Amino acid sequence: METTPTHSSISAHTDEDLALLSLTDKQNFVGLVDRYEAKLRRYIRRLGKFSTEDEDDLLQNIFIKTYQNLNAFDTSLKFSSWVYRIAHNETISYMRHRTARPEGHAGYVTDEEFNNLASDLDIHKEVELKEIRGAVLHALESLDKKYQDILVLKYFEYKSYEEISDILLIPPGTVAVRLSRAKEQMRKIMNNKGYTHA
Amino acid sequence: MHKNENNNQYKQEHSLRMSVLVMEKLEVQKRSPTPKAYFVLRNVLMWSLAIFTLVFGALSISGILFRLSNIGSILPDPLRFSHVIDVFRLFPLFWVVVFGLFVYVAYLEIRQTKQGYKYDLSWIVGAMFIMSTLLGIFLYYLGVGFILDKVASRYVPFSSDIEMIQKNQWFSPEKGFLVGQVIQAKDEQEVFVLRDPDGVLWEVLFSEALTDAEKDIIREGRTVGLQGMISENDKYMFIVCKIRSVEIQGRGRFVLPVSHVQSIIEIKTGTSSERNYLKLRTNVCEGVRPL
Repeated sequence: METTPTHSSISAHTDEDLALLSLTDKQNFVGLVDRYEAKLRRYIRRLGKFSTEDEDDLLQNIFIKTYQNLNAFDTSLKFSSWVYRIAHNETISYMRHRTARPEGHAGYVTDEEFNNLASDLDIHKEVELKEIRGAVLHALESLDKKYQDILVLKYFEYKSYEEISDILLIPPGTVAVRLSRAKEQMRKIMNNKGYTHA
Repeated sequence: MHKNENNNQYKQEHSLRMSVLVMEKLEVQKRSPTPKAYFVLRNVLMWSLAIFTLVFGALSISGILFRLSNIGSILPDPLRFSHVIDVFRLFPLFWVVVFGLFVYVAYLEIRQTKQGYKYDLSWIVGAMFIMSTLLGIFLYYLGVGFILDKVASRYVPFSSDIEMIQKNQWFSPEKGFLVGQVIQAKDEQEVFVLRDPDGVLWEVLFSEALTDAEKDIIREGRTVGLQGMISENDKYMFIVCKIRSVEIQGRGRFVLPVSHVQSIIEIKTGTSSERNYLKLRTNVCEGVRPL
């Protein structure tokens, strides 16, 4: 007789363990959905603007795709990188069908996340960060998509170079180059808007 | 305000129900994980295609090497080799393009493998280039480049194989250029028999303009390019003023055996009057190599 995993038994396992256990008992997948729903919802909101219904559809598709591809999960990767990769690809694919890429980011960035980005851009310390929040986020939205993706993952999702490489399927060296260029472009835009940097 | 409260309530309910919704959907749609064998096979297939592509890259490298190694053998005189179309035919452009395409395809295939995305384009191209070149050199020495050159000349528009280009460049006796295989030569005699690309046998006489090094080139079986002139006395007798070995390199083990026809030909060493005629006509090579 099949036993349903309890909440405590699920929480005792790592994501990677749960992914492998889900192959033998589907109920273990519940733990992964619960752990990643909020994170992925926040992430897809940063990639584009969706209605709540669209977000739900998208999230369901992401989790179903994740479940169907569990055997493709490379245990040398973090599960979070892998599920973010699926989320990223599904969201991009979803947006392609809508043709236009709606604006995201601005409404879904906490003060801490914003400060993380702004301080790394060396935006002048005398300027109140709150004052320029809109300008920074607007500058972010005006960047090329490939640069936006890197900045979002690095500063808002706190991913390492290695994780970003695994999520976006690009070499770690390319992550470093794109990140550097993205920051350079951001600084230029901010300079043009009259915000000096240190 | 009321709308916001409703939205928040909707979100909370929905958030709680997401795992239920997903599990229900998996159940209703009877979804199950794709078998591991599928992913393993796909990975193996992609690597196999990449290796297959690498081999094709190596084949094109052997074609490039074959062309490059024979440029010297097919140019009798750089001044004559000035037509754009000839340069186009000689340069292994086709193989360079093919090689570039295969490297690009291999890059795409490797990118599709499990860990392939971790490699930089430059790393993949560099590795492909080195491996293809090493394998290509090996194939070139086996004579694969020679075979490919023949095959490509049949199917690629505006292309000719090396032997054809060599013939076009060197084989023009009336203009003083003759090419062919030495089929009979004796050290002590200043004459040898050469078979031209059309199979015609020529009796070739040394002129006094030849150096000893050039005379040493004449060995049975060798392909040589000659500059000189047709004798006024015999339309199949050629007086040679310059000799170059124009052996096609890279035939490998596919090289055709030398046909020895020594037994059926008796070398005419020239009558004494002919030899005297040659010595008297010291200016016979004036246009080719002034004495």
